[in-house]
Amino acid sequence: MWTLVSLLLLANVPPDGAAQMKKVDGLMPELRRMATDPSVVREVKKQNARRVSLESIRQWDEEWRATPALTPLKRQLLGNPCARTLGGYRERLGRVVAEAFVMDNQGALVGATRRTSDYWQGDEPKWRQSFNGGRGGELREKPFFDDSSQSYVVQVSLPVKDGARVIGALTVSLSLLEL
Amino acid sequence: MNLPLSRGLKLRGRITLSVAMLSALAILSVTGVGLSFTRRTLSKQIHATLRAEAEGLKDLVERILAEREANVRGWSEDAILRGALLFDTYDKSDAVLAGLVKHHPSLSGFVLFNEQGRAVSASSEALLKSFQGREREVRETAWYRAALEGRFTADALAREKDAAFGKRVLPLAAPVKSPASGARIGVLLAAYDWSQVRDVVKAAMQRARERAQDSFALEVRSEEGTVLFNSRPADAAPLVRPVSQEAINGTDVKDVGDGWHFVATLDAREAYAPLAQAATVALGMLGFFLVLAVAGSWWLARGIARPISALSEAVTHVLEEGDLSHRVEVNSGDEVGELAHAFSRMMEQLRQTTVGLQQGTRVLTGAVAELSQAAEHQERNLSRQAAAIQETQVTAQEIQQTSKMAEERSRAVLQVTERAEEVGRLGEQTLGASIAGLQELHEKVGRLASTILMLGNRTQQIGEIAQTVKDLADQSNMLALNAAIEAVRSGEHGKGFGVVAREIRALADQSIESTDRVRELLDDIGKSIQDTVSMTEKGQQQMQGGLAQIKASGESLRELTSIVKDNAGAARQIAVAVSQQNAGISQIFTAVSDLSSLMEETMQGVQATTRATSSLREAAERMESVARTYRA
Repeated sequence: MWTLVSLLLLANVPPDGAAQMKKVDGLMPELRRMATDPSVVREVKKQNARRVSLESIRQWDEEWRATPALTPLKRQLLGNPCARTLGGYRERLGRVVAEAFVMDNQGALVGATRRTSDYWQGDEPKWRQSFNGGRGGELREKPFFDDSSQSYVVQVSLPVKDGARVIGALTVSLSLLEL
Repeated sequence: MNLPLSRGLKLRGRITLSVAMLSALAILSVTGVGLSFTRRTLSKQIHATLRAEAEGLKDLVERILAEREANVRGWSEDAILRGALLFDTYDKSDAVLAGLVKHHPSLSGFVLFNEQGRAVSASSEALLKSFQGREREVRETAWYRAALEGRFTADALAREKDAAFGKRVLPLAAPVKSPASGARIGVLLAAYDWSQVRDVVKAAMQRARERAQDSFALEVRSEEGTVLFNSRPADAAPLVRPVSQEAINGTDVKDVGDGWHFVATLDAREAYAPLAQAATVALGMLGFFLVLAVAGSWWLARGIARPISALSEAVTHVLEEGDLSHRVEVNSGDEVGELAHAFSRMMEQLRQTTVGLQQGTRVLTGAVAELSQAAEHQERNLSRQAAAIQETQVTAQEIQQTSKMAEERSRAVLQVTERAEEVGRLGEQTLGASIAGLQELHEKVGRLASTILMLGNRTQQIGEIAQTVKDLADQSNMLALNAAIEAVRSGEHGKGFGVVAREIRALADQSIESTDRVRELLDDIGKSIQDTVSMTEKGQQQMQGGLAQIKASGESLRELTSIVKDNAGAARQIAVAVSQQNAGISQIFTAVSDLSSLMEETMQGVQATTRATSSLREAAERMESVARTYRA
């Protein structure tokens, strides 16, 4: 299935573009390590354990999007251990990683390397497919131009697992031209 | 100016004609030269302006095209567009192209094609749609092929209207390359709105309108001659006499317009309109200045000629009428006025001179008349004086003769006296020797007595002569006095004569004194003779009476002898005096002769004076007649 998606994606892409996108494959083991990092898993579990209602999440999401200012919630999400772990990976991988964030079992943010546009990603494929009610898999989306990093990125989403159970998801934006 | 025409004209006409012709010539030549110079300059200016406009348009279009080309090249290297083609995602590139259109109004639109010629991204959705399904068509377009070769082309510009853009555009297409390998991944098309050229030339057209060149037009032609742009409307009438300059877009700056011709055109009639206008104005000014020159020169000539005519009239009047009192009236203060004033002053001086001359001549004539009168009078006087002198001379001659006679007489008296003395002596001797001879003696005494009587008579005669001499001397004195007075009246000439006259007078005085003394002596002699006679008579009477008395008689005789002796001395003295007088009279005669000759010279002098006076009178009369010629 992965190959099929790739072929579809690469149908209209010139060789240089396809070659760049192929380089994502080389980064996948590192991204999987990121998704299975104990601190990331611990933080997701911790947030899942809180069982925040979807209603509250949606309310926070609205508050999140209402202002670009650094609210206490945003600060907490950018400064917690999960975010620090992601930052560590990002530093190691360099400018390739334009962005990385982790979501819980409801699609709400657990930690992020920078301010994302939404707090709640539960309506987006990156969470729906990678979590997929606890049976999610890896997802590579169509590349797009990321205004925040001012570069073309491809977002790769991976399930965060506790053992064999998917408890959340990790999305990493890879800057295609930095690969 | 020696034109045949000018000979018949007066000074006024000649000056007017000369100034008018000179002015016309000057204005015509200046205007001609000015117009031709202006025409040359204007022609140069027009060509320079047209060239500048053509060059300006060329530079402007070249710059704009080069700029747009550079822009398109720059945009074709844009990371977003490259990335869009590389990763086949066009949301952002659509936004970027839309933004570019918004910021560059001269560009009608942007379309991004991929390698297959498919439009993948565009500045507007409509534009993107208009290229849908036209991949093949796009691949065959000149601009697409040029872009694949990395160059720009203007071939598509020939088309009046682009189907996709809906207007005439210059498609500028540049290849988009992969940043990784540099391989071409697509083509970016930017459509330059060709109607923008109208905005480009707007400034030039505005400048032309400001220069009042409404026929000014700018054209852009391709290398082949196709009209790419023309500022004149297509339906406008063609220019009658077009003047044009063109500039060719060189290859020094590589751009799509290389080889294009930029032509600036202008209607010659309109271009040279200012010159025609200037010529009309110059013609008008020529007429105006000609009229002004004629009027000015006429006025000037009148100002010069009128006083000269007045002077000429005045001179003619003076010559014909001899009237110096005629006045010249000139009121101008210029050189001609100064001439007239000088002439007036000369006339005034001439008049005063004439008056002086006439007065002087009158005085001279009077003086000459008086002088000639005085000369005549003097001549008359002198004639009378000369006659008097002549008379004096004759009289002096007579006196001389008389004086000689007196001398002779006195000598005779002397001889008689000497003889008497001898007789006395003899008588004495005889008295002593002979008494007998008393009778004889008596007789002798009687004879003696008669002789003495005779002597007395003679003495009386001498006295008369002396009286005559005295009268002559008196007359000489009077004459000398008259001569002295006349000498004084003769002035310088009479001085010498005066001296002589004084001498004569002195001599005459001496003569008078001498004659007086001679008379006294003669009186004494007369008395003595009378006494002798009476005594002789007594002796004769007494001789008879006594011898005794003879002794006494002898004594008396001796006494008589001594008296006779004395008498002889006196007679001698008289002779000497007479001879002295004679010498004096000779001197008077000589002096009077001198006086006479002197008088003759004086007369000649006076006559010369009279002649000179008469010629002076003639000269004075001539002068008076000349002076009378003019009326002052």
